[in-house]
Amino acid sequence: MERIDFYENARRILANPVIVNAVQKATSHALAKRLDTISRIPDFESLRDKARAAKEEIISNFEDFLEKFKKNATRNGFIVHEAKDAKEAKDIVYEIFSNHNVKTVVSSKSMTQEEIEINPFLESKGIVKYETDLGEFIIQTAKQKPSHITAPAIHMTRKEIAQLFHDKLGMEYTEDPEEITYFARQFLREKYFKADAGMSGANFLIADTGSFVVVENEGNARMSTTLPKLHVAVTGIEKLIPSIKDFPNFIKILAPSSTGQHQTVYTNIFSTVGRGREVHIVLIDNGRRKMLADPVLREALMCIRCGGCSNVCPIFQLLGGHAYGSVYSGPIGIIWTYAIFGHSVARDLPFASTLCGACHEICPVRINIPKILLHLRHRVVEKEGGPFAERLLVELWEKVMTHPTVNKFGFRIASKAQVFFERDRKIRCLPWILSRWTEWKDIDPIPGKSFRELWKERQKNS
Amino acid sequence: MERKTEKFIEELKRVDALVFLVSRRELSKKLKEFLDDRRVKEVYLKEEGISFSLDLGDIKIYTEFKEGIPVGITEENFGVAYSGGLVELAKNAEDKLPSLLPDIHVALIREENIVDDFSDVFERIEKPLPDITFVVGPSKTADIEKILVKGAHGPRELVVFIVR
Repeated sequence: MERIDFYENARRILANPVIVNAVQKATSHALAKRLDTISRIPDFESLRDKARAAKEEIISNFEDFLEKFKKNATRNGFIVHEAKDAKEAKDIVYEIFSNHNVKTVVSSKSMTQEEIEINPFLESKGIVKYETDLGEFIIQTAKQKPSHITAPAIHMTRKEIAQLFHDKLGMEYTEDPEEITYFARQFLREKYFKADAGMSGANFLIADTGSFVVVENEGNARMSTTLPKLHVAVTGIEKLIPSIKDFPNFIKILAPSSTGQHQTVYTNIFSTVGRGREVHIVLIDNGRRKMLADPVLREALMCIRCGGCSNVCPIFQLLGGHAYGSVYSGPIGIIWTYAIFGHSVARDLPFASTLCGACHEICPVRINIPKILLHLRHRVVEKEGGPFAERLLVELWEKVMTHPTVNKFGFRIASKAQVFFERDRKIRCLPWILSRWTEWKDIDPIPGKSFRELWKERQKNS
Repeated sequence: MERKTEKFIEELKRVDALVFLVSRRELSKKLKEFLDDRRVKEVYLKEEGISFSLDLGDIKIYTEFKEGIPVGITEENFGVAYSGGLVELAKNAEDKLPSLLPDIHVALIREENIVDDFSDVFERIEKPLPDITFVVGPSKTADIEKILVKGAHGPRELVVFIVR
């Protein structure tokens, strides 16, 4: 993967008021609904603690729980595979499909599938895979990438979607969301019945029962996992939870933190194969064990992919997911992208945060995201040395602040010189290397009198 | 009425389910009334999944799905008062279809099978576990401009008969 140019992406998005508007509407809607919903869950805070404790148990004894899950899942009749990276995962899926002579696949939404980029791979092998979640279906048809972890098409307007379906799928043009939805429903209905295989991800892997869980609202995951005789679930190994007894704690915090719903419409717990069917689980490492071994990054493995941190993040609210240039967007997505795709790809991303702490506050399993981001910044600066302008500025600042005389005259000169750059009592545009600073924010001008001068006057007057 | 039944109904209504509270004796009659009211002539159900003896008169019952059947009838193994969730246990994939394929899902549930919370459900299910589906309201999506549309891929309507 190439280096993600967050600044360039941000510039491009900010030039498009449609996306900015759509993202703001969607995120504020989810946040308002969340507040309303959790006001009906009196023990919400203690549920978060319990869920966190369960994930801590997993992190501190990971291989044992994974073994336990594999053993129990195999006993349930599932065929369990392990893949160390994306390539191996794709090869495993392809081998299963070849053995069954699979030509078409219906799939429910899975970020893990996006992570390993399975769609272009299957396409290159001549296998047609339909995304069946409406949002995913829209962006697949538009040949785009998801812009939000749980609402992949929030960046598109109904007009764009109407035109897209009209042009690509022959829908009679309508901008009515209900009619567009029913068109997609009809289009995909037929595919479920004809598909040779169904794919899904998994939200949870339950170690003590060997079950896996898929949550959804539309019913497309139910369709994809019941109508075809072959079901392949592709999932990251971090989705483990210790026991079915822990499951209620997770299911009670997931939907409220995500879309703000009390519960998703469907929670599908798979524990059995059933007559005439075959179910495969492909467990993917792809950098997760490396995260586990990293004392800073391992906490991010607790993430249950609710997308709450995206909704609440001031950067995400403004730009949406595409700015992050990765399947995983938003605050936690920065960490995952850095961990999975590496430093050289993601080195800009840790700076795409105000470190305001809202993501930490909202995270249902209380992942300290800002702390991890700060650590990642440290790593980036250690490796790259930081930008020249910033280094110069910091060194200058250090000189000015540690030498009283330089300080006194420095600020006096600056407060006079700034009139050239001041407009409406703000400094909006500084020259040369300082322009990097004012490109993204306005700063307050230096006041006419310094604190020390004010203090002296005050002493004199009293 | 028991507290948990009340809560169950309250949560069901919150997710736009239509709820009927009926006695065992009047179940067939009330169900038939509802189906007649909607001009339904055909229903889809799996007999082995339903413990009531239903007399639906002239309404044709299909045990295999055929495109165009408007109603699927299921009996729910449990109801969860916490979320208004209907719990369906299935040993085979086809057992899941009546609550999924038709436009209207009619769910029957015995009042004594309503439990307070998820943990009560898991305590009551014998091991090894079957597949478990929690159904909370009709299928929905908000993927286009966050506007709620019912009946994304599954049923557009959920109708619950609580039998006491």
